[in-house]
Amino acid sequence: MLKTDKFYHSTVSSCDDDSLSLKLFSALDRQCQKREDICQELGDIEHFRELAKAIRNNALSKLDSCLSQFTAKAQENGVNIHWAQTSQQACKITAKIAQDNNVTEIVKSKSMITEEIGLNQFLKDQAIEVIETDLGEFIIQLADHKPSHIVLPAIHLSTDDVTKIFQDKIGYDGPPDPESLTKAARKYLRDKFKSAKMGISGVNFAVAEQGLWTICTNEGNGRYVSNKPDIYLGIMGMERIVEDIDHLSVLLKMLGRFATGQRITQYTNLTHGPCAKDGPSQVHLIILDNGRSDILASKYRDILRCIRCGACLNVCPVFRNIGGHIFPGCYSGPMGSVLLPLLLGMEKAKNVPKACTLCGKCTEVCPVKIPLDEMILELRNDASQAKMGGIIEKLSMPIGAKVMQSPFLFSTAQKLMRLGLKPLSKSGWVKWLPSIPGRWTKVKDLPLPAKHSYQSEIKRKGSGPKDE
Amino acid sequence: MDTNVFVTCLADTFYPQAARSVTNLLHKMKIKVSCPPGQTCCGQPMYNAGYFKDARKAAQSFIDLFGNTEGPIICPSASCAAMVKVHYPKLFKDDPVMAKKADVLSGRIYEFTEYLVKYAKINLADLNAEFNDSVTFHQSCHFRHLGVTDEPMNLIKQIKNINYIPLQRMDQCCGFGGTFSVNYPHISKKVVADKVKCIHESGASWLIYADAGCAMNILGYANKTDQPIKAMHIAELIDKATGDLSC
Ligand code: SF4
Repeated sequence: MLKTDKFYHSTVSSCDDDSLSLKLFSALDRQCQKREDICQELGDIEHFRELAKAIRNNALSKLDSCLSQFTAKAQENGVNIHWAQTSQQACKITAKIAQDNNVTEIVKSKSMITEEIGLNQFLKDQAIEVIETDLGEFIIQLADHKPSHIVLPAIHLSTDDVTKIFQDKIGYDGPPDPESLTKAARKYLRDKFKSAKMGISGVNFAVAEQGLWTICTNEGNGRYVSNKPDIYLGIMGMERIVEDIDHLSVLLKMLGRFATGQRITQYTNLTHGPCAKDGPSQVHLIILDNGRSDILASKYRDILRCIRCGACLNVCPVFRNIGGHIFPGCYSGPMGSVLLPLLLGMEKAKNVPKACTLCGKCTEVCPVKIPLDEMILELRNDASQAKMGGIIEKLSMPIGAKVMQSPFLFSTAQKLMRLGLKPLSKSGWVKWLPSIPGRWTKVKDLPLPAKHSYQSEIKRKGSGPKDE
Repeated sequence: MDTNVFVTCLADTFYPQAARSVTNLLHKMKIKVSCPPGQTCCGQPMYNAGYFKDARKAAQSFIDLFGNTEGPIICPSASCAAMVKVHYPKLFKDDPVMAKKADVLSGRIYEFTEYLVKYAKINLADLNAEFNDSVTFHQSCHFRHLGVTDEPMNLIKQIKNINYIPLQRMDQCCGFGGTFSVNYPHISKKVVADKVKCIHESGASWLIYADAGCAMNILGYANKTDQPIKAMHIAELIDKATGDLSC
């Protein structure tokens, strides 16, 4: 059994909250259905998954040259490029850009990388206010929540929950329906867009050949953030790059379909740098490493193919019941279970890869064919080798292996198990067991082992046709 | 060609009737089958818990035992079949001698329905299979790793008079996951609760399963919560449906 930690205890409380799984089941089933429907149009989806995988692998295999081509071109286009090794550095660069320009208010579109580096809190501590402009992010910012899903940050909230938040935080007095709520948010945010002097977004993909990058949104707020204020800053993970526009077009197709069941997101913005006549006068881009170089050099490099579509979260039977809030970082579900131990260090996330049934649905769905379940297994093995498994596990596994190596020990264990369990059983079921096995019987009954194992039966009677 | 049955530790211990049905059916198909003595476990429990070193030890025993046999190895479990087929070669990738042996076994192992459909190309109608009741089927997760999709359902549909009712979210995990079920019993419980709900909502009289692990998990929860389910392994269903031996 594992050594419990904060994550473990949080899974217990999430599971106690039936309303959470109810919300997640219906919302995620809807997402999955939309994806399946729209993917059908592509015909052989496997072909596209292979293609997308190859495109991502291609960029990763020549990441250095892609990045230098990209930055040279972007600088030519007038973009200020900043390299950040760590979260802290990325936050500091952002704050400096704001402070140098006397900015105290920033509008931001939805971006997981800014969550990864804890940007909002950092800027808040520097007396710089960040206003989230994506509706979902805006809602959770008001509620002071973390995103619970990498694509659908407010998926843990119902319309009623949102109404209540709006009433409490922005004096909303309209009806509890999504349309009116959206209108209220829009009105509130428009004013902020007008006054903010700086905008920040993440980057979905950078394109090496042209030195441009994309922001994909469905609300147009990415466009606003990158165009309206005088200063625009993009922040990208160093792996989020493709070689050329053709490659980009395939990934945009996949991202829209796998993330939200759309052919392409409503607004797909391409940013090319400042323009004398229009838009921001300063364009900055931070390229963040934050552990990615190490991942690239490790056996886990395939995870860098991830395009953050969230499809693996949507199909995950565990995520559906625990949601994304309780993960020890901003990433959750299967991709989070791989990324968090790599980004935060195994010690901080050792129980996360264990919260997985290894059903493989994530790997089956992933548009860039990341072998998520295999990586989760590999991480478990790393944890056990680093002696981070619980003591019981550490002791029982070698004993298990010994028993499995010896047919005699194995059949003796079978017999002893039946002998031991028989007195505790009723009508073939064991309802209570102490200690670790009790963790099973607390939620499920255990069948009593058969009177004779199959192998002992054929030993006695032979396996001929009439062995019944 | 002669075949071998790999019983699997869970079926051997808890559901011997599944293995018995596999052999019965092969006899009916006039296929020679043996059950190499001294079988234990494929090592999946250790492997899935992330103890590769210990898993290799169990796998080594399996490879030694079945490496001395010939012909297809048939096992009434998708997850154990996937362990041998998909994971053994990876487990021994740094040991060329063992990797070679693992590769050979990887090519010889078949999950029961996979064997019937892909290898033996059976049509149950030819065996006069008949079953007069309604069934639903839980698709074990590890069929995914084997590349098996509709094969089990197609077999079920070949049975005369059977009323096959598809299970909602049929390929969603039952929440077993080996050590996961004792590491995170509360999550496992919620996942299996949905499975049991879908099974009852299907209205079928029987749940047909393909893995002993899923059966222990699903039926154990159903029993604990007083909503029992009548269930049998797909090998048992086919064995029953094809009647007594007439040969
Ligand atoms: S791992 Fe794959 S499925 Fe999951 S978010 Fe990344 S790209 Fe999407």
